[in-house]
Amino acid sequence: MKANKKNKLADDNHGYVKIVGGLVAFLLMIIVGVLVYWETQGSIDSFDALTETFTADSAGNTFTRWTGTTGSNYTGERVELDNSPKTITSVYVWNGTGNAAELCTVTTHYTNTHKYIDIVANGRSSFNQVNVTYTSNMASSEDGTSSMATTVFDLLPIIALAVVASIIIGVIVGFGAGNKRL
Amino acid sequence: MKANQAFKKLQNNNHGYVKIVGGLVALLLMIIVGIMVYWETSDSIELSSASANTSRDGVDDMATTVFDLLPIIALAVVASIIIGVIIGFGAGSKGL
Repeated sequence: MKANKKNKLADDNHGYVKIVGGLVAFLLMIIVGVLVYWETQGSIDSFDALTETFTADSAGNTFTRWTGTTGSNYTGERVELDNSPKTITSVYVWNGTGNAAELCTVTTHYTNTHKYIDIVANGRSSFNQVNVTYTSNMASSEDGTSSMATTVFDLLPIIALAVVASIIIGVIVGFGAGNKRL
Repeated sequence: MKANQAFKKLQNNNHGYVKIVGGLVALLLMIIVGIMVYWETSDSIELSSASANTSRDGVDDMATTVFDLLPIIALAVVASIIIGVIIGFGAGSKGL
């Protein structure tokens, strides 16, 4: 490796300078790499937990509250998410009654198929809005990559540490070896 | 792999370390771009039959596993570099 090669410095007055310069450049490149990676990763909103609000079903028909005699959501509604969910944190329906809207969870009253959420709010089927909070498959996959990226970025400076250690060992090994060694 | 190739050539390459880091960052970024492209494509495909949907779900499951494993490549590259440096200790002019 170049920095270690510079350990053969018996005939090179500028060897140490090059070693230090190389290591500093390496460490700076790690910082730049960390910056580039996390800036890029953070700029993609799809990797975050998402909350979507719906006032119409997947066919585009606006929800109409069940009034006891009419209403589209008496038998359930199907909404289409932007991304397929890996985990669904919550499904809420706005159980509107007059001017006051009450937020109700329907955790046990929905089923998920690919991008679709089928909501049967049972006794709470008088809703005109649905809020779904979820983590997409995309975000879940990306999370594993970012976790490993953190580990890799933690390990990269150890390369510099190993190089410095090798140089120190090289110098010590050269003790008493005459002018052929460092 | 580019990072490993750069590592192999470092004896005569002043910019080897920079290439290693650049290669690893490029690899990690390429993985998350690949994840984004895959899931955007997969989510946009609407299948009419239950069998087709089952097949797609199976592919999605395996893709998830593959995406989980891909970052380990970066870890292995870093590990190989560290091991390479350590092996070079005291190897004289033939060492790293």
